[in-house]
Amino acid sequence: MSSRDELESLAEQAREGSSEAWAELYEANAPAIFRLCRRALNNRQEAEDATAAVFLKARLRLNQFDASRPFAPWLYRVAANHCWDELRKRRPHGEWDDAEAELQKLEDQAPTPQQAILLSETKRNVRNAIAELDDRSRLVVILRYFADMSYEEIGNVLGISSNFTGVLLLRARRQLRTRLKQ
Amino acid sequence: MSESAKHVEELTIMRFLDGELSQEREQKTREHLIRCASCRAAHEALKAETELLRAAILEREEALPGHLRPRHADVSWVLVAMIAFGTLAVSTLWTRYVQPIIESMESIGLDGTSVATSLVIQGILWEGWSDMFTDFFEGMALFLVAVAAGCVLHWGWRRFLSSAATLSLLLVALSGVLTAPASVQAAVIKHVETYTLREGEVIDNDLIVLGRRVVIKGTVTGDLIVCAVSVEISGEVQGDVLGIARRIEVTGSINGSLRAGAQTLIIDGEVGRNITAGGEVVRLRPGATLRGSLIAGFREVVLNAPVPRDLILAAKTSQIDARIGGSVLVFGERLEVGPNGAIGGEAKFFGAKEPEVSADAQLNSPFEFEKVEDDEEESMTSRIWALFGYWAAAFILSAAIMLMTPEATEGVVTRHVPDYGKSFLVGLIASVVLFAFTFLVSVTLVGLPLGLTTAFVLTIGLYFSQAYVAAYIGREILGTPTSAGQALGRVALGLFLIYIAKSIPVVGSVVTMIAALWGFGALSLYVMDRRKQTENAVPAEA
Repeated sequence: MSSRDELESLAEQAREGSSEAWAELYEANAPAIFRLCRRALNNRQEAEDATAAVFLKARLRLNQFDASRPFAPWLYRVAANHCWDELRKRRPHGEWDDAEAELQKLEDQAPTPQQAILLSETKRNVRNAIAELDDRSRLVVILRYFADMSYEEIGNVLGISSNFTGVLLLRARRQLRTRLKQ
Repeated sequence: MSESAKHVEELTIMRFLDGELSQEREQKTREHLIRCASCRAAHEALKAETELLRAAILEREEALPGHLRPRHADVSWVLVAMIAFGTLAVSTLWTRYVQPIIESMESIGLDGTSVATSLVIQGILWEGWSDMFTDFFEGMALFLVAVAAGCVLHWGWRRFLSSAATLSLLLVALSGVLTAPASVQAAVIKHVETYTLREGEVIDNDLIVLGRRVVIKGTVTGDLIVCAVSVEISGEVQGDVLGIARRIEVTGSINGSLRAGAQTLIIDGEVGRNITAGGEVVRLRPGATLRGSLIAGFREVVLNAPVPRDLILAAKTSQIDARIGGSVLVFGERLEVGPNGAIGGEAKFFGAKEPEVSADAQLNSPFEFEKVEDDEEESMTSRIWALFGYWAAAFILSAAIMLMTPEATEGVVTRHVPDYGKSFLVGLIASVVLFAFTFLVSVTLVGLPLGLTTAFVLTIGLYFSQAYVAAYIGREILGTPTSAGQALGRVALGLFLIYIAKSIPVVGSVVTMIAALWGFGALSLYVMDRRKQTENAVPAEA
């Protein structure tokens, strides 16, 4: 696996037209991008298509990449945007459950450590529960804990504030707890 | 102040863990956590939960699908293995099956210039040659099974195996099967210029002879399989005779059946069972004895010796001047029954002219004659019923395709079908290329299964492609559908119009062709588009 600096210099070479460099970048990142898409889209076929599309977009936008910054997060952002576009297509009228009051209540709640997901829970069960979240909540969870994106970065992708990203994330985690307790 | 206000909110703890608090708030939270045991416990629980979530999401339980893997990885061992085993398999097939066939064909004067003739003769004798080619067919059957298994394997294991890997695995398996020592055949095999089995000589086995001139004066206790320019059997064959030759003459006796493909077949001796033959001219001379039935496809058939059982002929001209014990069924242009002719069973002739039956001929029942004409007038009702039936069949297939592949259908119908000129042209080129490929591959015989499969897929593809055109026509008339039901309705309408047009003479065949090529082209364009998408994204190593 290539180290961080290596990826950035590869990206620079790829930008100058080296297809070998691009092949290495692809090889290093495709598995992760595929898993990201797989988890975000919840559908294998779509994830396969999305992986191909993400790399296509990334290659075309390579000249927008700033080589002084890390490559993987940039690629993740491309993937995040693509997945969000795909998820929105599923719900063309895009009404999300943003009920202010309910979310407000969420912020006021005291911590409930005893409700946290038990460590004895298997990873598979956790994944299954994540898969059952609504599209947007699932994407927030994946982008935060897989792509390691900040609330602000996630908010930029989803077109919401970073505060609201945090609220969505906490709500998603609570839903996961409820699901896993059943 | 209430108790909870003193505590840190869960959201804050989560943001703290995610590094999402301002410096000031982070400091405050940190201080609070030191002081407050209950919030500390919450912090610990949330931290553990975050780690579990991260671990669950990051776990690699699915590999990158084969077709998304960079292709240079395939080049290494997969390609080498493929080439190696592919070559091995092809060369084995060639030396074991194709070469002997070509050699034996050349030795009887059939060369490349008359491939069609040789294929026809082989086709007629397909069944007859089964003894010799049993393992050839087994090989073909194995190949087809392997292809089917490969598809299943590839589909089921596509997460782990790329197409190339599956293919090479199959080739490995197939070449293993092919190169395994063939079952030793109990037969005497001769490959000589002129072969003579002298009078009094006995071959206590099957005899396989490939040569120019073959003369059997002695005795073969098993079957005789022969491929030569001329074959004379004046001795005795106790089993069956399977032969391809320019001229086959039987003056001796064959206890079993005779299956032959020959330009001229003359029977003057005895055949213990049936004759199945195809070629140019067949004569059953007056002295001949046949104890079974005769099935023959020849240009000219002359029967001067009795056939005790059924007679089936497909010949341009047939002359029967002997007793036929069973029924007679003849297809052809002319049929003559001479004065010595007699038919024990039913007699039927499908031909251009009435059969000429001599007044002295003894027929059990009068000849049933059916004039064969090219254009049969259909009644209006039956045509309407047929139209309805075709339409219904096409609709059911189309509906199945659309329901199974909604996304592809949508892509084809909305993106490529409207571009009719391009679609039609692509459809035309694609089907010509595929047809040429089918033909070339089939001629090599080894590629026959591949050729047949391609032809089958091409035919099916051309047939169902009209569904996309129908969907497009339906949408042009009724507008874009908003539900699956509406989409099917549009297809039904489109197909109905296409089938009405198809039922018009001349115009119909043009419509059929246009609809098929147009839809097929659109489908091809769609497939190419998708391939391009993947190809651009997945790098290929130079």
